[in-house]
Formats: sequence, C-alpha cells, structure tokens
Amino acid sequence: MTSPTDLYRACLTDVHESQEIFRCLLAALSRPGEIIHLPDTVPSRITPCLAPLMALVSHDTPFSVVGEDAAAVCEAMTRATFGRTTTPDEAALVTVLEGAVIDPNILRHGTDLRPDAGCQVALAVDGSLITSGNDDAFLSVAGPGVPGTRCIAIDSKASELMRLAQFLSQRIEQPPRGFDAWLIDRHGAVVGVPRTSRLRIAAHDFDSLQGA
Amino acid sequence: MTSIAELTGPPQATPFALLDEESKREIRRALLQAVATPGYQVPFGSREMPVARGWGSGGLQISLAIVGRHDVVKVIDQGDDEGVNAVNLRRLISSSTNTEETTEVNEATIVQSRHRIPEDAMEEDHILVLQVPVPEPLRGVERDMKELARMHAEADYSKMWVSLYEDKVRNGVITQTTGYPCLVAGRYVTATTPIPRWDIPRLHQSEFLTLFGAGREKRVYAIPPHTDVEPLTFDDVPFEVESADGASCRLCGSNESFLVESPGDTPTWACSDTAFCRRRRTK
Amino acid sequence: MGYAAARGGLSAIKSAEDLVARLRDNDPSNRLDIDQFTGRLRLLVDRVMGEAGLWAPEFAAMALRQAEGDVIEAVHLLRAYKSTLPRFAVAQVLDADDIDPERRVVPAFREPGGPQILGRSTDYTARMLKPDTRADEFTTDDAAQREVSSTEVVTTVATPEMRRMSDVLRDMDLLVDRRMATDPEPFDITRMPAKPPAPRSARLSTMARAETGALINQWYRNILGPDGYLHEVTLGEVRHGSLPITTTHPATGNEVTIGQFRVTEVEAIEDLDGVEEDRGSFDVGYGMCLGHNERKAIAMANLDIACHRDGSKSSLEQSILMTTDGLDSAGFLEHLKLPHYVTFRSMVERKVAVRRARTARTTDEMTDEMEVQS
Repeated sequence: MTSPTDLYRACLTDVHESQEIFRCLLAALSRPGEIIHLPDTVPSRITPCLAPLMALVSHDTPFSVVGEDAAAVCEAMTRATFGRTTTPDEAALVTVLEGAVIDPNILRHGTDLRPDAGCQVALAVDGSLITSGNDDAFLSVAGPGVPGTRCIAIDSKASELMRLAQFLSQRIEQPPRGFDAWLIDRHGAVVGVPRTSRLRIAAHDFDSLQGA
Repeated sequence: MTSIAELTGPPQATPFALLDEESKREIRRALLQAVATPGYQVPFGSREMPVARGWGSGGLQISLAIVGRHDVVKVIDQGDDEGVNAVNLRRLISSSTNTEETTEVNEATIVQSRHRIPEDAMEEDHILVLQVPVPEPLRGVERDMKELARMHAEADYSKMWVSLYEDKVRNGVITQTTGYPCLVAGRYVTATTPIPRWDIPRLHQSEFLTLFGAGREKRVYAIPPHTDVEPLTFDDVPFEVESADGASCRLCGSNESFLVESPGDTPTWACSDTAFCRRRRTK
Repeated sequence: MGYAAARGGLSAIKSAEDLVARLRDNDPSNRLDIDQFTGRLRLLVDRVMGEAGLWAPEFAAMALRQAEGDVIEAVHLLRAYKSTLPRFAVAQVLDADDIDPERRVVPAFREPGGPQILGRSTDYTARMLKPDTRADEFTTDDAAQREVSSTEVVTTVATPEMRRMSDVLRDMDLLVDRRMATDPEPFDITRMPAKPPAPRSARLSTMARAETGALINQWYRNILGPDGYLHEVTLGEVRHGSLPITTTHPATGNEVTIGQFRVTEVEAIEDLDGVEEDRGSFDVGYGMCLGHNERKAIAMANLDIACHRDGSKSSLEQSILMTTDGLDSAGFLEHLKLPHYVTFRSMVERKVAVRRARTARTTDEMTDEMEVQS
C-alpha cells in the first residue's frame, strides 16, 4: 500500500509529461477505437488510469474517483492538482478504478445548450487492450474519427469483460449530449470512446471464458 | 514581518509555451470537449496573448496548449509562410518552446494557419490549427446571442437555409465567398473560418484533426478526422469552388491549387500556398 | 520594408521593431521615468490599470512608456503580462464602506450622512488652458486660493459618519430590496466568457474592465436613442478612495493586510416608473472600477440599473457584455490591416459568377421571348 506522500508524488507531472498525456487523450478521442500509448513514465510509477486526472485537472476542477482506495487517491490528486473532489454526478472528470462498478447514467451528460458539460471518464481495464480485425471482438466502434469500424479485443478475465460490457452497454447514444470514455489498461494503452461513437459490444458468453 | 517578496519567491522565467499550466489545462479540457462534439463551439477562458485579439490569439492559444518539445511547427497566413503575421506567430511559438520550425507540410506535426488549408496532403500525425475571426456561422442571419444558442441547441438552421435560398434566387448563384457554412457530423452548422471554398472538400473525411481557435470570441471547436463535413447547399445546386477560368500559376504552372491574382494590364496568377509552389518548381 | 507577401517576413518585422524602439528610446527629449507617470499623469495610469483589470501602478507606467502613450496598447501589455502570472491567493471579500475617502459627493442630498468632500477634482475649475510652461508648478498665491476653496464644502457636523445613500433610502423604506439571501460565487470573466443572459457579477466585472469611452458611448447612445432609452439617474454616491487588500497568511492562517488600492465607486439612484415596477420605490445601480475614473464608474452604475430594468428584453445586455472590451474591439478592428487577399480573391470570383448568371438569365429570357414571337 503506497504511502499518501508517495501517492501524491506519483500524481505530480511536469509540463512535458502532462502535455504528452494530453496529446494521447486527444488522439484517443479523435480516433476512437485506436490504441494510443501513454508515455512510459506513467505506467512505471502509477496506475495509468489516473493519467487523465493528473494531466487535466487544475484549480477547482471538479473531479471524482470511484472504487477501492478512492479516498486516498482523491486526497493525493487534490494536493497535486488543486482540483476539487466531488461526487461522480457532479464531476467534469471521473476515474473508475479497477473492479469498480458505476451506473454511467449518473454521470454528467451535458445539455443541449451546453453539451461541453458532459463528463469525461477514465475506465481502468484490468487486462490488455488489443487491436482486433475481428468483428466478434469485444468492442467495435464507428462514427466520427473512424474510417469504417475499429475493433478492440480485451485480454482479461470474464468478470472484467462483463463489468466493462455492462458499463458501455448502459450508455445511451444521444450526441452531442453524453459522456466520453477512455479505456486505459495497466500498460498505459488507451482507447477513446467519445459520445459520438456508435458502439457494438460483443454479446459473449463471458462465463465460458473463465480461466482463459 | 513576512513580506510579499518572501511569500512569492523570485519571479519565474516565462513558462514553456508562454501560458501558465492552469491556462493550458483549461484550454486542453475545452479541446477534448470540442473533439467529442464536432462543430460545437466550446466556450473557454481565453487569455490575453502577445498578439492582439483578431490577429490569431485563439489559434495561438491552441498551438501553445498542444505543442510539445518534439513537435515541428509550420505557420502560414493566406498560404504564405513568410507573411509577417505568420512569421510573428511562428517565432512566438518556437521561441517559447524551442521547437523546430518548418515550411514543409511533410516535416510538420502542427500546422497553424490563417485562411488556408495547405495544398499538400496532411495525414493522421498532423494537427491543423485554424485561426477563426468569427466562429458563429449564423451571425449573418441572427444577431441575438440567446437566439443563436437556441438555434444550435435545437439544430434549428432554418434561417440559414432560407438565406441561402434567397441568395440563389436573387443572384442566380449562392454568393457565399469564404468560410462557407458546413454541416459537421450531421449535427452542427459550423463556420469553416474564411478558408476558400477550394479548401472545404479537404475537411470532409480528412486524415488529420482540425482544431479551430477564436480567441476574441473565446471559443474553440474541432473537426475530427474521418468526419462528414457537408457544405450547405441544395440538391440541384452543386457546391462551387473558386474557379480561375483555366489560369495557372505563373511560377510553377499549377492549375490544381488555389490561385491568387496580381491585377494589372495583364493579370497574372500564382499559388497562394508558397511552400507547395516552391517545391513544384524545385522538383 | 515589406508587408504581406513579405518575403523575408522575419527581417521586415525585426526592422519595424528596431525602428519603433530606436525612435522611441533615442528621442532627444528627456527619458521618462516611471514616477513621472505615477506622479504627474496619475489619471492616465489609473485608466490603464482599470482597463487591464490589474492594480500595478509602476507596471502600468512602464506599459504606457513602452506603448508611447497608446492606452489600448498599454492595456494589452499589462493584460498579456498578467497571463504569464499564476494566481497564488484570493483576497478576502471587502466591504466598500471601509473606504478611506479622498473624495465623496452626493448629488441626491444637500446634507447626506457624512461629509461631502470635493477633494481632488477639476469639476468646478474653469477649463482654461494655461500655456505658460510653468503652469503646473504650485505657487504660494495658488496655495492660498486653494486653501479657501477646500474648506468651503465641509459639512456642518463635526465628525460625521459617512452613511451610504442606498442604506438611507432603505431605512426610509424607499428602496426596492434586491439583497440576496444566498452568497453565490461571483462570475470570473477571466476564466469563463460571459454570454447573455449572465449574472449581475459578470456584467459588473465586464464593465469594470471595459474601455472607458465604450461605456460612455453606450450610456449616451442609450440616453438619446434610437436603439435604446435610459433614464438619467440621480447619483447617490460618488466616492474615490482607498481600500485594503486582505488575505489569509499561508503559514499562520491569520488574516493579513498586504496592501491598499484605490477605487472609484458610484451608486446611481433610479426613479422607477415602469408599468410593472414599484412606482413608490427607488432602485440602485452600482459601479466600481480601479483607480480614479469617475466617468467610467458613473456610466457603469447607470448601465447596471438599466440592464437590470431591461431584463434582457433588448440588446442592451449583449451590447455591454460583448462590445465594450477595449482589446477585443480594437484588436478586431485593426485586424482589417492583415492580408485578406485569399478572401478577396474568393469575393471577386463570386462577383464574376453572379454576372455570368445574370447574363445567362438575360440570354435565356431573350431566347424565350424570341421563341414566343416566332
């Protein structure tokens, strides 16, 4: 268990790293479904799903963390960024830690007048994101930013696939309102799923993959 | 007694890319929202820049917010790398970041431009940053800002369509010059900045990301790659790009680039994109 | 020296910068010191600080000197400088009644609570240009005369407490009560652009930083119409003085006063006469800006109450929020000097297209006519 000071220090970025992280997140949302890699300096010192908060939160930005150890993470992140911890339904930026479950429809979806109030959420993936050519892959993405479709497979246990599938399938497609998601695995691979993306989530029998 | 000087410490050198970190993060968050809502004008806390409002302060803020140590920056104005405003903006970016500058599209990673899209094809590694004087495409048909917000919120573009129709009926052609209004991702009518109609097809299903910065009006917007960008027109009225009546560039001979005229007894034409033109001549 | 299709653009810019610097800095007259601005051109310095939204007299002076006296240029320099500075603290909310007044007049009442202090003002001085080069030197004869004038307007009360006229009217039950029960965060226009409909704090802070002439013009054109009609208010307070800046000490957590700054504050009393308004009451408009700038604060107060009464029915709020910033308006105006040959080329092309369409239409009509006749 990391000490609070170590966690705080790990959350600190410098101007160059925060810029590089931002460019990854920008590329991920501009080219949904394409795997973009965070700089190596991130996964080597902290769980990569925290990168969006580290790089994007600034003074008074409302953010939220959901999952085990959320409180410790929030405290470290607040010290590091001067952001403001709040509940997931009020946050501009949310991180859903590994294993955490949340109903995506409580997140800020913006309004017709202000769609830019829609939340942007980092979803930790306990496994590996893999580009797939296969339409039966876990996730297939189409829409702005995608020529045709892009497919993503996730190398992980069944329960994790179910958790992610549940989150994504509850998402209601109603752009320009909605939230944007970054799937981020432990190695620092990022896949962006903006609210404009049309998703197809594979209807797998995830239980049969148990132990694989 | 503690003095202010003791509390604040010594004055710091100008930050990397001019802007302080908080400003950059704010602009970055706005850009991420913009990419997720193609064509929607995202408001942001536009900072005062060393260039005046109306002179590219928005494009500059975007470039400064996105640029990194390893980027290579090209800046053009009217297609010209040597235009004084382009030179000024480019040196502001590179002097505060130590990034490399270039005139060649294929060497650049960030292209900031006023009023043109480079003739040379840009790919997925490129980010195009366009300077926007007036981000509101409906400004000509509606003045009230509350009504404008409603029109975009409800995708009620009827006034724009009526205006285009009346234009066609009155003048025989649609007379929109540059900054032709386009429907982006089938949702928002967007001001494409005063780029010529010639450049509009290059936004449609592009390989590259385009970011739009309006510093004075304090908004940013985006068109992601592989996104539909459809100029507003009628089924029986094809969209017309600028025609030069078969003229070609007096320097490189091109008739497949946007040409600008030098008036006179014998008018001559030249490519507005000077880097494109120079490369053609030296090939 | 080149321009647009300026080949060698960088050398052109550098030459221009050299020329400006050389002619400015090497002018044969005496170099201007900062204290000459803050000491002898204080109103100019105050105006620049007000429009920049930054209290920093020495920096405003430097900006004016660098800008060769161009106010909007100086404001730009100051605001751009502010963009490079981080915010490290927030001041405590201050009470405007803590003002240490150098000047205070109340046109609405002859004997308001507290003194009427004419103070440092040329309002009642004859505007007579004194061509004598030593005219601004203070002579003993002048001194005697000035002593006399400043004692004439002291009130009859010995040590009066200065009571705000809006408070007096409230006590007389003559004022609409618009005090809020909640305490919302003020709108920060430097972090988020204000658009109509906007909260009052956005309107006030926009006007506090607005270009002085723009506010005066907004007020006057709405007095005379045709695009608006405003009441002339009766002024309840015109104050100029200093206020303390108090913040929390980062180490001890105690309140600490770190300095002072000057403001001009105006309350404008509005005689309500609208159909839906309470004709038995007054309402109040408010204006405050940095430094000593009375015409700006008066315009602010008048426009504040006008906006409130307008309730977004007209375009007044939009005009105030969107068109009064000096840098936005001047910058956009002057951007017309930038090259526009691509856009112009596109316009020429459309003109040719329109003419061709006209000719084609006329030819078609003539052909149709001929067919009919034959």
